[in-house]
Amino acid sequence: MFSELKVDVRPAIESVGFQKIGQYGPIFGLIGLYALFSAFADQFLTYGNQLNILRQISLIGILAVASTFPILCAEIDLSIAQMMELTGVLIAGLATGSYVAQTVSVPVAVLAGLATAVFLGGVSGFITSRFEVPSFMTTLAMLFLADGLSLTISGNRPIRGLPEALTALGGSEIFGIPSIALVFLTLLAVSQLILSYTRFGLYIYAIGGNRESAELVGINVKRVRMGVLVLSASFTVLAAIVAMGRIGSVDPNMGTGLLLPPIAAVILGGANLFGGSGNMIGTLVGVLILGVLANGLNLLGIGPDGQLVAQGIVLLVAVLANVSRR
Amino acid sequence: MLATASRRRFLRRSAIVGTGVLAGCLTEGENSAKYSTAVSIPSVEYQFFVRLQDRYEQLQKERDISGTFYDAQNSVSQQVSDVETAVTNDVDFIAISPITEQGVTPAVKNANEADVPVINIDRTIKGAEVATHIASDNVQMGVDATNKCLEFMRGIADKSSYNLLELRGTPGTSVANDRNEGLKRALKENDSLSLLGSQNAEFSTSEAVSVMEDFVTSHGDKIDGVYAHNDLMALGAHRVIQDSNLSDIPIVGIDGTDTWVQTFSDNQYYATVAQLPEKMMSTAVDVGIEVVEGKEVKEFYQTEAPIITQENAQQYLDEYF
Repeated sequence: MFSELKVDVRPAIESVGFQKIGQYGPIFGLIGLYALFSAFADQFLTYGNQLNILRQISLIGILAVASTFPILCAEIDLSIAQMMELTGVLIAGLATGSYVAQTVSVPVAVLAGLATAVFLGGVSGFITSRFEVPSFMTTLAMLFLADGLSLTISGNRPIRGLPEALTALGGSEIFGIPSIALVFLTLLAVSQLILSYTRFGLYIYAIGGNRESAELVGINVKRVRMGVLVLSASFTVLAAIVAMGRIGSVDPNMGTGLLLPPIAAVILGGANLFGGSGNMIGTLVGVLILGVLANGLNLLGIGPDGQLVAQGIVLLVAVLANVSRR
Repeated sequence: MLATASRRRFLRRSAIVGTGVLAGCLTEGENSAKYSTAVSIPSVEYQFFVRLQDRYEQLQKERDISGTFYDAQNSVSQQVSDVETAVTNDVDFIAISPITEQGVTPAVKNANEADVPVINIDRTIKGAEVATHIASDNVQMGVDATNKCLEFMRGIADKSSYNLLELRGTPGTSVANDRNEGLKRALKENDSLSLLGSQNAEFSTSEAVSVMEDFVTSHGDKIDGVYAHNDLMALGAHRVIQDSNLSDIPIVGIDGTDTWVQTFSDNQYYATVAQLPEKMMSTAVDVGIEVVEGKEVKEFYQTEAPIITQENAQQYLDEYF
């Protein structure tokens, strides 16, 4: 079908295949960090610490996977961290009976959270695709809305005493591997499969590469653009649930500081901030670079000021490597 | 065509509803209280200011005052306009907790010129005139928290030296600086206390979990105690210690957050230094009324910050939550 097209969708099709996954720059960066920290921090390469890194990257990782879809489609979702707060507060509040007198069963609470996420993601997506408002603005508005709603609903009080069904997904271990990491890696794999083997995935790259051409070949651009924002919003439910397992409670401000790291990870992994190229393996590498850096610096006992300097330098070098590769 | 029509109808309806809501808000503001007041705070993101707001609403009934509560959403320029609005509305006094020491100063000067007394609560205002300052001492809270942790560590084992970890708040905030200063003072006073590690965890539970995991990896059973700049980070440390094979590690936080205090029932070596925003707010309103009525007031009122442990946890929760 696509062979008949006059427009150039070759770059899009190329990025879909697994061949292009070896985007070597970021991987070399990651290997470099591993070599550096193994040499200077004794505990860095231990099995226990590697599991710690997996635990530490998984929450940002899930949010980064969620961010990847809009970014590939030349959109951006700024609301995911606050959407995670909102769905987390809703689910935990319903399941513990903090807001309504009666506790709701966990599946019902999760469904309520998912419905909220899909609805609000749908609102952002609808306004973006229907009225041509940049997603930067709609999702920024959604950021405030979700933040305000989660503060209102929770009365700005953290929620403890979560049922085990909620904390198990993020806080337990399966065959010695942290479950939170398994959730992240599964989501990552499924997302890559969606990108590689479904029409929706192909359309995302096509629209991200060149929206006008995609429209000309008959892709329902509006639906796909709305779809990516609904998808990223729905993934925040998973992020909220694993966060509960990780910190053992829900804090209406738990999204603070989680706005930019996921987006930075996606770009670090080699995706184009303006859409059309990138993939989930790149996102994984980007998330690992951020996580390994923080973990290694902590093990070396570098103080907060030094960490900021080191992070700044590594990000600059990584981004520079990204640009020179293009 | 149909879409346009329904959109127009939607817009018209929202306009009607919006006008109604606005009118409702306006009429609500009119009443015949003795004094009109205003409170401006950095952000209701922090539970501290929510408790302040709740108490302020109660006080409006108890003390026969009317009031507006301004939330600046952590934006300095928003706070400046909040204070300017209050001055324009000619309130009898304004209570302000500034986002930064200097940020709101121009607006406070503006209030000085308009002869509206400014009551400084919590964080300090610099470079303009305030009628009085009401706060708890963050440095002293840091000292108290550290000393409490040392007391717990001594209770667990008799050693010549105790290794403490510090979980710090967002770098550059006055609260984090003061609470770190408190630790430094306590370290100077106690030779048996040594700082094993100190790391930023952004006042956040999930950051604190990651940082604490790395502390456990690098220091393991050398850790004797944890001092966290706030209770949310203490919760994160608790989460990691619970899952590790380390036992009986005292953790002391600051703020008096109910979720943290609730963990005390199972942990005799946990504590917090509680802030009492309710007391701070009542003092602010009472002193404010005295200022308006021309009475002498002190330059500084310190709000007490009690240490909460397993023993008085239930009493504290019953009284404030």
